[in-house]
Amino acid sequence: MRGGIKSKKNVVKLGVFVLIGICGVVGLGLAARSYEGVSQSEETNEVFNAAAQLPPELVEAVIWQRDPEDLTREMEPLTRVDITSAWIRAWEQLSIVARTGSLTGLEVYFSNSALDGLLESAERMRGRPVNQINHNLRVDFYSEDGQVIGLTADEVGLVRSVPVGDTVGFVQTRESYEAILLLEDGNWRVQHWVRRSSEDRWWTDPAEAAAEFDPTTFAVNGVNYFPQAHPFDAFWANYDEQVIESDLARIAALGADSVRVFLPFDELGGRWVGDEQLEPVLDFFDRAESHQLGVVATLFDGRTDHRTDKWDSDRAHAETVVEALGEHPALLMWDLKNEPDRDIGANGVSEQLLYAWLGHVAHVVRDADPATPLTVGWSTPEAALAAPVHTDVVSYHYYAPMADFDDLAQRVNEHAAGRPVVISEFGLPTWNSYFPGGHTEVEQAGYVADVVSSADRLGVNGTMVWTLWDLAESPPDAGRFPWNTGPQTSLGLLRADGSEKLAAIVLDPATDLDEVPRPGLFNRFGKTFWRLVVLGVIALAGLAILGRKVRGPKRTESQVAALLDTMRKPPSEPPA
Amino acid sequence: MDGQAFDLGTVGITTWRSSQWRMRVRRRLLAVLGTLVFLFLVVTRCSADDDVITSPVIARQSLQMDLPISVPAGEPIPTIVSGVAPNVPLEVTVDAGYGVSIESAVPTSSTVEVIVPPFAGPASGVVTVSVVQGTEVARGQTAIVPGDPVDAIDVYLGPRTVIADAEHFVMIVGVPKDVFGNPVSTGTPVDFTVTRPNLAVEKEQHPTRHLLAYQLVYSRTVTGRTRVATESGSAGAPERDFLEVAGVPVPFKLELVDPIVPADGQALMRIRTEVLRDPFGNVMPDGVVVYLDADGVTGRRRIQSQSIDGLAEFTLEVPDRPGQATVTASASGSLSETLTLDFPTAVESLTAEVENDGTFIRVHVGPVRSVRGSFVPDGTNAVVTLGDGTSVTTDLTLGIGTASFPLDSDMSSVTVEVLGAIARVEGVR
Repeated sequence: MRGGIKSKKNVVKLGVFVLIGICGVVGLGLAARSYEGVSQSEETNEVFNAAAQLPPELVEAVIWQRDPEDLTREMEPLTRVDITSAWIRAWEQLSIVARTGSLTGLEVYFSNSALDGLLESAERMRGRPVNQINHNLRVDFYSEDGQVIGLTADEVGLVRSVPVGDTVGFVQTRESYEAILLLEDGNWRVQHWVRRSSEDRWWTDPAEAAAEFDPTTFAVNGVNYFPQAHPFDAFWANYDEQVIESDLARIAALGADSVRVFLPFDELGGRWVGDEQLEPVLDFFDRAESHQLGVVATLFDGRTDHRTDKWDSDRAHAETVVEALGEHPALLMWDLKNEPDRDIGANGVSEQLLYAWLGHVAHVVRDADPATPLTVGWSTPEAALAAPVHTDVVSYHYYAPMADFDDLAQRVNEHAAGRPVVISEFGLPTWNSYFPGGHTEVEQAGYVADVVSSADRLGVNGTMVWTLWDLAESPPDAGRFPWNTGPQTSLGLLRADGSEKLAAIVLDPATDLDEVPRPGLFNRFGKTFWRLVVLGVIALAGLAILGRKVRGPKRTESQVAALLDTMRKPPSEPPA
Repeated sequence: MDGQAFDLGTVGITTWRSSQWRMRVRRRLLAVLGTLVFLFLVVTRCSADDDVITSPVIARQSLQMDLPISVPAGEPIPTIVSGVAPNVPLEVTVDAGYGVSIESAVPTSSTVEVIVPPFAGPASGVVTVSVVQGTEVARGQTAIVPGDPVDAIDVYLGPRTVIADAEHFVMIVGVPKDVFGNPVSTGTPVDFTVTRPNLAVEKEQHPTRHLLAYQLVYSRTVTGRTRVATESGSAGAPERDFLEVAGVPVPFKLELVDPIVPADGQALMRIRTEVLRDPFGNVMPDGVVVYLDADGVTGRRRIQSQSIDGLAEFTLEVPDRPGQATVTASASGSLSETLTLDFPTAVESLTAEVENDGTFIRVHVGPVRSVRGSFVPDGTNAVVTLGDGTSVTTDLTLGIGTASFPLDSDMSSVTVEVLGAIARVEGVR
């Protein structure tokens, strides 16, 4: 009976434990969701009138054409600023109405027929926001009393949402409008606007193929490059010609034919790319050419916000960079973005909007450079498979076990539909410490050789190993724990002291990949962690044996009962 | 005691190894383990990536669409779509300038006509029609053509006042709309009728361009209210008006309203301009600011006035000593002729004498008589200058035009000046 009660108590305790666990998990989930909600700027639109917050990048995306000479009144600079602001805010308000369904704020930016028209169709607009990219404006009429403006927007770049299948797709449009704005109680309001033309492009439309690009002969055998001491964000700011010269010579000597480098968006000046910032990049290209190395230039590195108000800055950035480098003989390929799929969800950017952004930059780069092939460096084969193909070359990164390689590589090949496929990053870290998950240099060499040989066998057009050096620092977003930073800094083919790891020989086309050493049966025990495990097991076994000797033999139930009897006996009388 | 000693070690070992204790530990471990496994499963389930590789959503532009080149505003948009999958719903979306119209249909054959209902509000211009069936899409364009203008045309006129010099102008802007609020088609004629203050009528027609039509209405040379009527087809608009006003006045004259009065420092005199007119003879509007600059024996001064019925009048206090003064007026940059004023003395007679009684010396001034025969007004100043050059100013006594004051020093002479008249007393000692 008593055992039954205890058993019930234990069941109750178990239930309480499980309940606490569930509550904890649910609570954490809810907390994470609310944080996510707060951190997404779009959510605040429902609280504040976001149109009042003029996106600074959009202001830069407005270009005024020269005023016509027959304008009866010259427009004052301050009025032009006011009109710019009113025009952008009107479009922003339109987008807010479509997103939230709230009509609040419409009358601030629209009146007369424009307000009537928007109020009439506001409900149907819901869920189909119109996002603005850029505006090209011209004043056609300015009344003598400065109260009425006739405006022609020759080019209004928009991204319109369109439900397609089960998702929301995007159409990037270039429209033109005629509009009348009226100064009412100190505010410029849109009275009328009439759309005069519209050209559109679906978000999955690929850019035109690169001219004179022969996909059948395209092949790369390269390496991703950062200087050892100044990787990632520190690269171009600490550009050292001697180091670059030495490293490129080393890459060429190892047998590679190309390098993949990253051109950071912010460090190069964002919208306003300066000659000073491009100087080291051009020098790098020159030196690469002197070593007969092709360069895969990865654009928009570090640019993770792909909301539409940033698109015009991206256009300006890409046009300047491509204009400077597009005809350089060392340029092998434009990589539009490194691992863009990792940006999905950040800043409220959906998967399809990311693809729309890639389509946008693909067309911008293609317009500026019709000859050089384009690619996008997807973080995984799965990401490449999920994305529409905007580019001439499909590329992805591979850090997963080899067991899955063949299947995924074949599927990407099919997805590419005849376009060349490149594995633009792959590798294995040789980080080997007290923590689990380390790898030996033999494992690295075997993995790299396996990827290269399998890719070759499956018809993949090229591979680019990550990376030349064991880097001095890990990427800024890698994390802070040793098991985060350690692997990131030990993926190189060369150790930090300059010596070659075993995997370095894979770059040489003459290397027989079957001859590259593979990990043996006891490779595991060459790792620090497993050595510790073995030592720990031995130590525990020794302690167990020692403890048994100290405690003596294990007592049986009868021996324990006898001992209890002894304890229960009353003490004997003391002698008289 | 040795044999009976309570062996704690023995008891401890026994308790440690008791089956109940082991059972309890096992159950607790089981509970903790169960919770951990549960949490692990929940967390990994929540964060696990979806292993299923989704195919990209591609908008295949395989549908064909036939649209009219243009549709009158207020008419439905007939959309013929071919290449559709029968019995699969499709959606037709019309993107107009201000919003969208959505129509759904379930085609029964590979070609379907979808009639998109007209927009109830303004929607003229290029509209984009999208047809989506699953991931199959088509996109085309047509234009909604606005109708004829209807009442009331939006009209804006400004500025509301203009100088009547045949050079300045106002602007009348008309934005004709159709019944749905669409600005009418480019080139639609708009008639502006201008009725001048003298009832002269001028008519002009201007076609709409950039959604509006406008006319510059130049002023004429006659001031007054000018009215502008706007029409387009059968549509009218509220009348607007503006004022044509005189501009800068031509040079003008000043005149004294009252005769010159003696310089007693108290009397007021009035000066006014002649009627201010512009070069076309139009009287300046009320409120024109006119400045009068006076320069005389007592100094300079500027005073301001505003015109009423073309006249600006200034009231001045005469100086307190005789002499000449010049006055000049200016209005909107235009100057008057200079007017010279000669103020006579206000003092008819002035006496001053010394009283010395051996103990005190006193100076008695007055009585001072004005040219009008009375004493000078109370409060008039007398400036007394002693022989050593020291000046002492004192007021004449009220009512009788006299004053007296003691001398505490030994002076040879005393000079008294009242309103420019001077009396001198010698041999005070």
